[in-house]
Amino acid sequence: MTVDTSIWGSPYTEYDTMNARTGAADLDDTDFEDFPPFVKNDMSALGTNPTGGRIVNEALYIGYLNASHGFWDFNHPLDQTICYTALANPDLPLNDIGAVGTDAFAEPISDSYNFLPPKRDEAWLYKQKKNDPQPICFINCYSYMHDRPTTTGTSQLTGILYNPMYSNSYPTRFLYYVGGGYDSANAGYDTNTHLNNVNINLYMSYWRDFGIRSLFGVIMVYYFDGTYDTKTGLPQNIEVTPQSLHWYESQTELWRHGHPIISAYLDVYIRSNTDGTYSNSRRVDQCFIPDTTCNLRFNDSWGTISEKHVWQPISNYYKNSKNYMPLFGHAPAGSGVTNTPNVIASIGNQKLDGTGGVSSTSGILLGTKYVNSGFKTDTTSTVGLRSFWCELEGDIEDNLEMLRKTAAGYGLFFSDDVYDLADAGRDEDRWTDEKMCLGVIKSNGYTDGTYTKGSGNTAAPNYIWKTASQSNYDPSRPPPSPENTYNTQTVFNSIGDLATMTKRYVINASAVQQLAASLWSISSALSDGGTDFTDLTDKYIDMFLTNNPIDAIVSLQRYPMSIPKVSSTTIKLGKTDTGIAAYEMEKTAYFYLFYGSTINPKFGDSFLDYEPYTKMELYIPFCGTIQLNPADIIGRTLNVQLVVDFTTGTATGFIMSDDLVIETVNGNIAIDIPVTGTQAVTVASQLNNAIANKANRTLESQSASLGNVSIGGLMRIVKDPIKMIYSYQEARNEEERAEYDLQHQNAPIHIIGSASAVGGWAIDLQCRLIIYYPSGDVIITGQPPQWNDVQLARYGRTTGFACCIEGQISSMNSGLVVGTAPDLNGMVTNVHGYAATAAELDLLRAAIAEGVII
Amino acid sequence: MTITLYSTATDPRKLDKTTNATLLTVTPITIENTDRIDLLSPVFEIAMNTNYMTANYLYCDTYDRYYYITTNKINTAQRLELHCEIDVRQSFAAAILATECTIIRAENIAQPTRIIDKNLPVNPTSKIVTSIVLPETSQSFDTDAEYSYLLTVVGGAPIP
Repeated sequence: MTVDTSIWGSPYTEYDTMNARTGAADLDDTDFEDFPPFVKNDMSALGTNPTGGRIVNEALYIGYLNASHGFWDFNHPLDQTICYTALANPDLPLNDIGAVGTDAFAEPISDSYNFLPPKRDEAWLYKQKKNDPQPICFINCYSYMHDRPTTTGTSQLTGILYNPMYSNSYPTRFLYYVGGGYDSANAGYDTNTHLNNVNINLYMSYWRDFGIRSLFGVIMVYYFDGTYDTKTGLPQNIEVTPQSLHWYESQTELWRHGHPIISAYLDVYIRSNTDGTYSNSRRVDQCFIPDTTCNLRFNDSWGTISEKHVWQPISNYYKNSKNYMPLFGHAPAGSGVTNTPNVIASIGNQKLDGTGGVSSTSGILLGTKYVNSGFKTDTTSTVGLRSFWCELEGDIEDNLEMLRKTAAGYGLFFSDDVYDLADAGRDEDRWTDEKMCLGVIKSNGYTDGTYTKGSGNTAAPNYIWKTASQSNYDPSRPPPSPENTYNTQTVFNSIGDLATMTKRYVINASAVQQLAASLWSISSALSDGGTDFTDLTDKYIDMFLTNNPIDAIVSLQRYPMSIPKVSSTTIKLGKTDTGIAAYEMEKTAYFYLFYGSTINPKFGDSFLDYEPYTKMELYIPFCGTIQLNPADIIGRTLNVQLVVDFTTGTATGFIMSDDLVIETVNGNIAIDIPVTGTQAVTVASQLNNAIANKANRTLESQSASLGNVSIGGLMRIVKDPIKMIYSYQEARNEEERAEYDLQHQNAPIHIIGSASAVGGWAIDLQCRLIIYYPSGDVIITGQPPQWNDVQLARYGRTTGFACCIEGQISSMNSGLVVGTAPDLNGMVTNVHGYAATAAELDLLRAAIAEGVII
Repeated sequence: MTITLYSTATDPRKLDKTTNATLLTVTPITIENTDRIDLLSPVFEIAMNTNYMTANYLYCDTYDRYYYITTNKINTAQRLELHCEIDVRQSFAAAILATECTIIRAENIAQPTRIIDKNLPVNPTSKIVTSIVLPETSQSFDTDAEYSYLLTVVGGAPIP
């Protein structure tokens, strides 16, 4: 079916999902129960206060609802599920619902539907679960399927289970679709006057404990119960498979015809008239015989009854009327059900649309084409049971198809394979998708005999629940695949104490000056009393492990912050205590600064806010700038953590999108104060080398483009004679690398600080996101080029804003709409509804592509 | 066959062109053409009437379609020829509205979306440069800090 396919979709593309959800064992992919809602549930475990998995997902949930409310609706959202009258009233106590004979089961037999109100469904299910361990939809539901109501409202047919219970562990016939007749127009119907002919038996099976969806209609060609069988006194069974007809051998050879596809045993009990007199003119009306392709032939043992009648598939009625097909609940309604039956109590006790009800002699009886005349009368004068056989002649497949369509009219699962499903239903290996059919219920609630098989839906799309109470279960999702473990937070570790071979003092500017003076004093003191420089050197080495006191100083740096310090002390150079006040530095060698700001889009989070239209650069003090992708940070918090390393004088900026580091950049933060001439030269040399290197690479790249005439190019040629060509790009890359090195190895602060400690710090010490926004092409006097609302509105009106929306053109409500790939179904003119010609369709396609203004 | 004449100044892309149009014919004009009439590009002959000279739009009830009058010609015998081209937009307006498609441009979105729109004029050279200062959320730099010097000396030697 296209199971109309909304709900069922493809069972096999998702069963793994279901298994994942339910933890059910993975079955093979041909098991019907493998797809939702056919998850296995142990109904025996329900008890009186069930908590276990009856309602394990939406599908089953819907199934329960629809079943318990007597309607299967594949397309409507839950809150539009058609339900019984009482359920439609949210104020009605649920206690009143569920008992036979109450309004709960009074079917909505008018043209208007009753919809399940919000929350009622939950309560309803709750009630089921809380108080009723058994599926209420089957409890105390009348299932008599006789063709007329009775005065007592009880079933007329023997063998029908009024109260089918799930405790039946074998397929149980619960719905019994029979044709029927009556012996006079206004006679009360009784148990003895009916005609049984071709039947559709719907079996329900709980053996798999699927819940309501375990209802299966099984097309069975009917025999009938032996009570009235005066012919053989034995039950006669005829079974139909798609290919053959099987009779039990108890049947006499007389009735084994050459090509009958369906034979049915008829029992007509001839009785006296209601006035007690005998009539020998009993009409046998209303035979449920397949459609025009099939003829019904009655053959009784006397060979006198033979007539053709037309099978009217039951679904035709629903298709053509404004009613729908209920499944449960048969409360004979209306007055005069005895003698003036205005309610036809055939399947579903469906009331028909005839004015003032349907009389017994006119109108259309459910599923039957009423035949008021022309039927052969039984001329026997014998009061009592008369038995007939009828045959459905015609092509086997045609007849079966008609039966299938009729069964499909119930909107239930059914099978045309009596062997595998009805008789051997408990053998799950026989339950295959090819054998399982499901009647399609259209979105308007009607059936029309369409059915589908599971095997035909393996590629059907899955339904996405859209109910207000839906769970997160989305059957259309593919089976979950293992995902990576995502984490969006970078972890910064705490750095412990740092042991060093040096000693670090935190001092102020005054101490620096004192230290410089002190060095001279030390030198003077040590040299006092002698001019022997050899001795002096020994003293230096003894005192400072070097021959020059100033070499005891490893470095002197200035940082743009208060350096973390602890206890006060004095500066000691080697074995000499200078007595200069200082502080010991904290053992931790790091210093953190944090910056952060939420970055909002400027152009409504449109494409203009992103590359290549908008570019963003982040300036980090002492580290320079780095280009960022706006997509990484728009709508998020741009955080920067700047870590200062007091050991090396460097700073590292960690750039974070929210809490995740996406970039890092390094720079030097400390001003190296030259202590010796050598150090000063070294710093200057580094700077010069970097600049010269860049210049050299630039020259090389330029020369390469001119034909390898530069020194660099020639040298490279000599170095690499095989290659012979010095790639321009290669040189260019090196130039860029050199420039990068210049910027990063010799960060501006470092350079400036080396030359001028004060001047370097004049640069911005804040993190700053520099944004290059695009501008419009329109210039307004006195304003930079830009767009404004007027211009954007004009653009929208003339060109339209780019978008990608799937939907009807009318969904845009107003204004210009430009579409592509239109579905030109149903293009008719406005007034008379003339369909468009091919040339007009081309014009329409072009018009939509050009744009239409609503 | 009758036609109803309009004078409309509505954008050709608009589905409804007659609501704000000037109705020129109080009652539809009956057409009694003697020549063939084409569905897509019909030519209607009507009696000359100067009021009709301003018509640029018409509705033909037989075809149930709307037409633009591309030109008119005054013929002999006081006949006015109206040369027309079909306007599928108004003729099939309701069906167009119900048409499902991929909408790639729309006016009432009212602003650029994330879909890149190369039609939107963007100055290729001019950029608006601005910046956002990221506030410090912890300790900050202090270039005037007193104890900002770090002296590192060789260590490990005992003070005598």
